[in-house]
Amino acid sequence: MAEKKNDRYAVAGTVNETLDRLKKLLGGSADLNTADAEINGVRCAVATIEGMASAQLLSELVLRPMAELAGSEEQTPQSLFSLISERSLLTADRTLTSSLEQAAELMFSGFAAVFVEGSQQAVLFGVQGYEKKAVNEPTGEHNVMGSQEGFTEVLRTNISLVRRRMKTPSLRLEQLRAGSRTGTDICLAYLAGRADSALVTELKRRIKGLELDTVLTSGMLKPYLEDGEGVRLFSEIGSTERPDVVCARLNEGRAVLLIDGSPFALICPSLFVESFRTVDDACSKPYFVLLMRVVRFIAFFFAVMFPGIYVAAANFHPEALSLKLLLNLAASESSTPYSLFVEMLIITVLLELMKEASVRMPKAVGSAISIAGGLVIGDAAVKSGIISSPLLIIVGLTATASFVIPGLSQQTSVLRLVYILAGGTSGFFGIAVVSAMIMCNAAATGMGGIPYTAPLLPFSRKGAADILSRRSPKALEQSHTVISELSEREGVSR
Amino acid sequence: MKPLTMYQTAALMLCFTAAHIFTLRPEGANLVVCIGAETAAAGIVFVIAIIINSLPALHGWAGKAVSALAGTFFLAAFLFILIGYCEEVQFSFPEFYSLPMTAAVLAAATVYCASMGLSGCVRSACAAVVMTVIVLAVMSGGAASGFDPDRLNLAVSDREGQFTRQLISALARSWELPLLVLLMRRTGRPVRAAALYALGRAALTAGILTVCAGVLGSVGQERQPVMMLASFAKTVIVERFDALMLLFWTLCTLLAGAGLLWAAWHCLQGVMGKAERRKA
Repeated sequence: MAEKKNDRYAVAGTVNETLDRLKKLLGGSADLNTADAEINGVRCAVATIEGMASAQLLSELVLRPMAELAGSEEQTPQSLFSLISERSLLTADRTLTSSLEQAAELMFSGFAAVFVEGSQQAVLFGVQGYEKKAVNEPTGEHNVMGSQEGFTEVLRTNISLVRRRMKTPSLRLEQLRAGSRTGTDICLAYLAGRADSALVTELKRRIKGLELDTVLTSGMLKPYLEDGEGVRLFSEIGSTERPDVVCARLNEGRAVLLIDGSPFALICPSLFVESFRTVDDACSKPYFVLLMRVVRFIAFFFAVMFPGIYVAAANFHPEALSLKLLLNLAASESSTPYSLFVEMLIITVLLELMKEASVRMPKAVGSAISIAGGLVIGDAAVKSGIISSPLLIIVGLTATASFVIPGLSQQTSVLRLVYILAGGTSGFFGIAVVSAMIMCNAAATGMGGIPYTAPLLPFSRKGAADILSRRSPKALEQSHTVISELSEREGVSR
Repeated sequence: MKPLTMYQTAALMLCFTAAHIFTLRPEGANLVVCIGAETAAAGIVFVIAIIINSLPALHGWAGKAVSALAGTFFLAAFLFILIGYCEEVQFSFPEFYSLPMTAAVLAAATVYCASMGLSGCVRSACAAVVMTVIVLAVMSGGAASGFDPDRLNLAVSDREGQFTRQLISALARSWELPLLVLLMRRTGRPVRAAALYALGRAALTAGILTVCAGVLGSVGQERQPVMMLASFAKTVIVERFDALMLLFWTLCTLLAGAGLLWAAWHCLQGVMGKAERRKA
């Protein structure tokens, strides 16, 4: 059966038959462009997919050189095909196939297929020229002193952004494909000799074993690449839209996946403490880096735990608060209709609502949310006595802190609510219980024998030194940290 | 299967000590006798663990029977620790926490932590023990100005009786001994792990007993001397904030419980014939 199907979609001996088969394979698709001509009396045809191939490149690299072959001595179809496919350098990106299905797949990626009468093979030339976004500044990972280039949606562009920064032959770029319908190209990048070969093999195995119909975003791959079972709060697969970050991670021995159609690269594995590092750290003085990293850790603590601790302390353990603060709190709470716990829940849900609105709404009305959120809802809620002023300060501080660690924004939002619920219902007992659960969850996460919580849990002296400070370039010259060093020497199985 | 590190094994075991230390009280007024008994108990636990660990593993029906017995013991130990913790918490914070609710929440959370696997539990245990020791050190440092050596009551008679009572009390609450044996069989350096645990247990217990007795005197023999000691600490956050101790107390109890539940699950697998085979 499979053989019959292959015969049906094989390159036929005649151009007409081949084009008919191709049209049939594509169901008469409107974006199939074909052009035929005679060269030295031999019939040839060129097929492309509209919008995927560049008309200029096609003309300059394929059609014109082929037209020039008209004056050559090649008179038979076989010799002409041999000249086109083997002896002339029309373009460097050239593939031969006898399968129309494979030819179609390449045409969807911007190749032009050339069929020659009498030949049962097609030559495909890479003349990609689809519309694409220019290389822009990353939208979610801003920096001051580093590169301002971010990944785009086009895989080839992204590969070139990485290759331009890593001119070493040990940089391996392996092309894979996932998604039975989308046929999404995926590029696995790693540094040979530095990346763990077992990790690379495992990643390839998992991607090849994917049975997804569509792979449209990098996030769709994550669950298939992660090691753990059940709900994991954190992911050992990091993502970035910065080519310089990708290069730094490659140099640390990690593997990176670039996915066509997604401006986010996946870093395998990623660690918890890396969310607190920025590209600017490499350009700043060590003492400033130390300060900033401490600030980022405090910001994470504030964003996640502070509202929960506040509710727990005010409701269950008021002895923790000073008398003045307690009196102020009691005075402001006396004028509000809801309990502190309910108020905190309402305002936190409102905050998430505004964050979601500001992400989804058109940019043109962006300022409207600031006015509505900041002035109308916030000010009016306090004046009307629905929400107390201290609470608004707490939530404002929390919201600001949550923007400091964009890499953990999803976890921050969810955990904040969990801590408020725990603190509001059970005080510090609830906070402790939730903390233990989160700690166990994070500590159980890991990839390729490298725990997500490394180098803290398990503790590594060398790795831990980089958590708050950064090593000087001179120190890096002496020895580079490689991710496999953080692997547990005597690990545990689940 | 990769083995545990000796630090991970010792940390999970020290969670039991750290969890118990918040309710620890000496059985007599002579501190040196009490410390000696606690140290002797740690040494006895170490020796028993080494002996049991050196015994050959049982197979067949005998192995299954031992697994079933051990699994039942682990579950019973978990229930004892759970109920003991809940009673003590209710004693400390009677107006907030009811025993059934606290027990239900803690049991559910413990099951969740155990379901994360041994790797999550032992790594978290390392962090929990380090944080607890730091907080206890801060508390002890804060209360050190009130330390009076005379309160150690070294001259009190009935030393033998005190020693025996303290030793029996320390051994009776050594629920963790079978878990230590089980973990030793999965640890790279089992003897060192057991020694590290025994030393840590002895040091932690002796240190807290000394500070409690030296600062609190006879009051240190009342219920929950560590919680009382916290209010004597000159460090503001420790002095004013009782619940800070509750945080670490709960954390250690929960992880210790998770270790017991993991062990019970492991034994159940042994009964069902799904136990992992140890590499020679």
